[in-house]
Amino acid sequence: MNETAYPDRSTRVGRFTLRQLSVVQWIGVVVAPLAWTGQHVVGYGVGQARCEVGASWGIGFDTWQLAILAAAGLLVLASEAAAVTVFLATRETNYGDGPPGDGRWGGAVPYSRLHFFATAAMFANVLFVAVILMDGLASVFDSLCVQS
Amino acid sequence: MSAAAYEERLERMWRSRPGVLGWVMTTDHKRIGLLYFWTTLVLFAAGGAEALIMRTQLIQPNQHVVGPSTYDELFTMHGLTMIFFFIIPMTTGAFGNYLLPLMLGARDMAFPRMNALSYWVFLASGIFVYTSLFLGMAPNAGWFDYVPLANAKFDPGHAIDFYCLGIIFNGISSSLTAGNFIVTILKMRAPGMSFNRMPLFCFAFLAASWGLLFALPSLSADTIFLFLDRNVGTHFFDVAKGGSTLLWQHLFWIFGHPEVYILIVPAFGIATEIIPAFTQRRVVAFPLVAVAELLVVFIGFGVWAHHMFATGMPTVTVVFFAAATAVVVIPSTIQVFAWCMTFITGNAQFKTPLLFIAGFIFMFVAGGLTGIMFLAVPFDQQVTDTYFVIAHFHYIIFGAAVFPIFGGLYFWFPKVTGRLYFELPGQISFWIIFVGTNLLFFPMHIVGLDGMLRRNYTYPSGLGWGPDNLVETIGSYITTIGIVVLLANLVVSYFRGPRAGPDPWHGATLEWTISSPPPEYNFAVIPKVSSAYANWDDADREEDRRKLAEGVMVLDQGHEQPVSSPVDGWWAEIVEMPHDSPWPIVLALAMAVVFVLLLLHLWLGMCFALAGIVLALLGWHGAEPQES
Amino acid sequence: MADYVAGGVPERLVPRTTEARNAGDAMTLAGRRRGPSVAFWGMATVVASEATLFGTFIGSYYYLRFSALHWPPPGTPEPRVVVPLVMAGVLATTSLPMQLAAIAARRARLWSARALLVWALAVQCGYLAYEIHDYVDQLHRSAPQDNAYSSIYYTLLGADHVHVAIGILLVVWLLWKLLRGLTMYRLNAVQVIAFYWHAVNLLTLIVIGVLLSVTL
Repeated sequence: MNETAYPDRSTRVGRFTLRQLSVVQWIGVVVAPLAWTGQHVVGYGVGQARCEVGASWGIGFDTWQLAILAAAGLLVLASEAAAVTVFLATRETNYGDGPPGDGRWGGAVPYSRLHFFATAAMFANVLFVAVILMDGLASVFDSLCVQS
Repeated sequence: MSAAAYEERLERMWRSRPGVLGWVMTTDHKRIGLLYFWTTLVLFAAGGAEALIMRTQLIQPNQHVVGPSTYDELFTMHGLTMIFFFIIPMTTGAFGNYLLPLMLGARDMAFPRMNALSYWVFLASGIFVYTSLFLGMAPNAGWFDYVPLANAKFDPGHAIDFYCLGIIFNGISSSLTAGNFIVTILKMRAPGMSFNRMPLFCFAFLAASWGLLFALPSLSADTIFLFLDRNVGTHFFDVAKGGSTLLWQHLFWIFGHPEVYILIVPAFGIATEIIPAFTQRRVVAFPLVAVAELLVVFIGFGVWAHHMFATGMPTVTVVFFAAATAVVVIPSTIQVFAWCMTFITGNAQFKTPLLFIAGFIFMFVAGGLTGIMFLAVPFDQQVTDTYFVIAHFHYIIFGAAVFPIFGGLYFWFPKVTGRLYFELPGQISFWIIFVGTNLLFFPMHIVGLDGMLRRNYTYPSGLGWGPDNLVETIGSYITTIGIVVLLANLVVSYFRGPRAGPDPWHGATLEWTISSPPPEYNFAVIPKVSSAYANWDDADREEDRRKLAEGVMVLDQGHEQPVSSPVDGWWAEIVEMPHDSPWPIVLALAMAVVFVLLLLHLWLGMCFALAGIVLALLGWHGAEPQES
Repeated sequence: MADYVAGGVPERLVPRTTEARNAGDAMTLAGRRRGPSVAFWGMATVVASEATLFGTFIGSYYYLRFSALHWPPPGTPEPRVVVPLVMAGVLATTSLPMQLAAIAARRARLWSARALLVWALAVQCGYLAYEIHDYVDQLHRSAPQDNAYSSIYYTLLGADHVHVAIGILLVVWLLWKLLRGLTMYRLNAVQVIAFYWHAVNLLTLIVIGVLLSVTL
């Protein structure tokens, strides 16, 4: 398929414009990894602080970790919802695992790109749900300050 | 004008200077890739020699082939060489440089002179570090160089200074390469190559480049702190004055863990192009494999402290890293399943490259299984610093990095040299290497669990470790023979092999659409791309042939290259690329002078040498691209 | 022939940007270019790498701080608060002339661009001169060899000053290049060096914030 020009960003795809779909797609790709990074770094720091001498802010360790877990978890779920939305909206793009020589992955750009990112993000976000749950729950169940 | 006339015009414009000067001043990514290839081969031989001497020393208990201090230098240099001077430059410098522009439909990298600079800096850093060996003061505290052993108090002299400065110097080369790859992959793709039409090899190299860019600063900071502690008297790692010895380990492994993914992900990229060619089938689950490449590096930044489970960190800290380690396995597993399904549902032809990939999958899965075992903290604490760890990472590094490298050498040999290699010696070389490496590394699991510690120059008799070590040493010799057969095959094929056409394997990507070896300008016509398997899109390739006859998309008004938008590949501009230049090698020399003066503690001289760097940069940016 | 469409654009509409050898051409061709230049992306990777380096320095600072009972250790003076904050703020204001210079160059207003760069350079040089004086002054009272606090303090601060110095050299070079007019190369350079300075200004604010956080 030969594009004669790049589609205008206000072109409609179902209920969305291309511009909106693009924004939602990036949310689906980027928010989950950032949420986990935040949880991992802050959670590690809070755990480190728990076992060090010095002032604390009076908030319980478990409260901290569960709050971070909830925040990260909500963000990842939002991210996944975004990815699924874009995936469904661009489903007509053929992903074809056809025989060689049938070179068409189908779909003009940017529709095929949106579908590709959405597919990838859908699966990646499941992984981030897993790691966020494991990080958060492990820190609550295994929160000793003794040498491991 | 005819097609041949356009090609001749392009060839005249892109041709390098003749002779040695053409190589010294080259900015052509293919020549730079070849320079990297030969240099890394020499350094690979050095690293291999270090390994062979160690294995010979360990063949039986209480041998005296080398003494303990030499042994310390050997294992340190072996680790440094294989990681920083073989795998990284071979995958990124040789394969990446040569192939990325070809696969992206580009005529060169985004920053050709910086590419050349990366090579000359790499060469200088290799010479810098190996000088230490010839001076008898090679680094000797292990490749992770833990403090306090590496402090001035316990390791006086210049050995660790060679380590610190050599690593920073080498890191500059890799950082520049990483930046160059990222910008090339994002901006220099053929117009129309959106992200979903980019080959998986390019996803792998994008992931590895992000990894290098973000991981190397941690190592640089670490080695800067150590150099200052040793030579200026600071106290970053000095507990008595408020420092922390664990700080070294944290910073080291924040680099070190992503580094191991950086080692294997480019090799995944190689595997992921060999498989379609020899199964004649597109890779199963393309979006998942693509995102898995990126995910394994990203999540890999969060697992570093699993190298520190035995340092006494509290449980609450340790669990974060055990949890993340459990999840980082999954993207690699997705890829392995995808590749295996591609094998099964495709029409597999087990030529030599695919044999190496099959071997890679076997070894990687074996190494990965032992890797998962380490996330169980109690188990990890028992096997830390034993041969079990050495077995694990050699199965991974040799299996998941070196096997694809060897397979890739065979696979792209026809493209680079224009000749086919000899198939039977190729298969024989694979089997010898496969048997050799399993004999070499498998028994290490057993002696490791039995308690044999790493980095010891010998071991006592009566513990029953002798027979396993004997097998391992024999395995090392067999592996060496296999590698010699491989290299001999390539050398003989270079001179005597049958001529190869552009596309002996019916490969999937764009490099197979041009002649073998490729012309200087790579593509006479900027290719039309509709999928990640562009060489299989016959209609597009037919259209390109017509375009050449009509002079369309030839871009021959200068030393020209198209630039596209990063995500969707919309055509953004046409730029004039720099050509041969003396400045990269001059700047690399100026930097080398600075590092030597730092080593010798000649601080004032170093300030003058910094002026040399500024002058070289002024020369570099003196002429603008349209003026060359 | 020139109507052939690749990447969504007919060949005749794609600007050959390196051909721009005067300010007017640069303005026109940059307007037709889609997205920032390749040079900009290159600088983005440099900024990412340097930001990570500073990130590890800052991470090390806090790691050492939270391992210590007293920070700074007894006998080592706390840093002054007001003057360094004000100076960092003054440096951060140079982002304005730098960005305006990039915009002026993009609009082919060379004399404005040069004047704005000179303004930025004057403030940046003033900042660096004061900071070097202050750094040397502090060294008389406490040395990096005293303890881990001083070690990380002087290293982190010194690294920031080095990046400011490099930025000054870049602006000097840029002014020298702009003496002879504007080409696309030089327009890209103005934009890219403005970006570098935004990064350095933000970095300086963060570094000063980190070093002064001990007084909180």
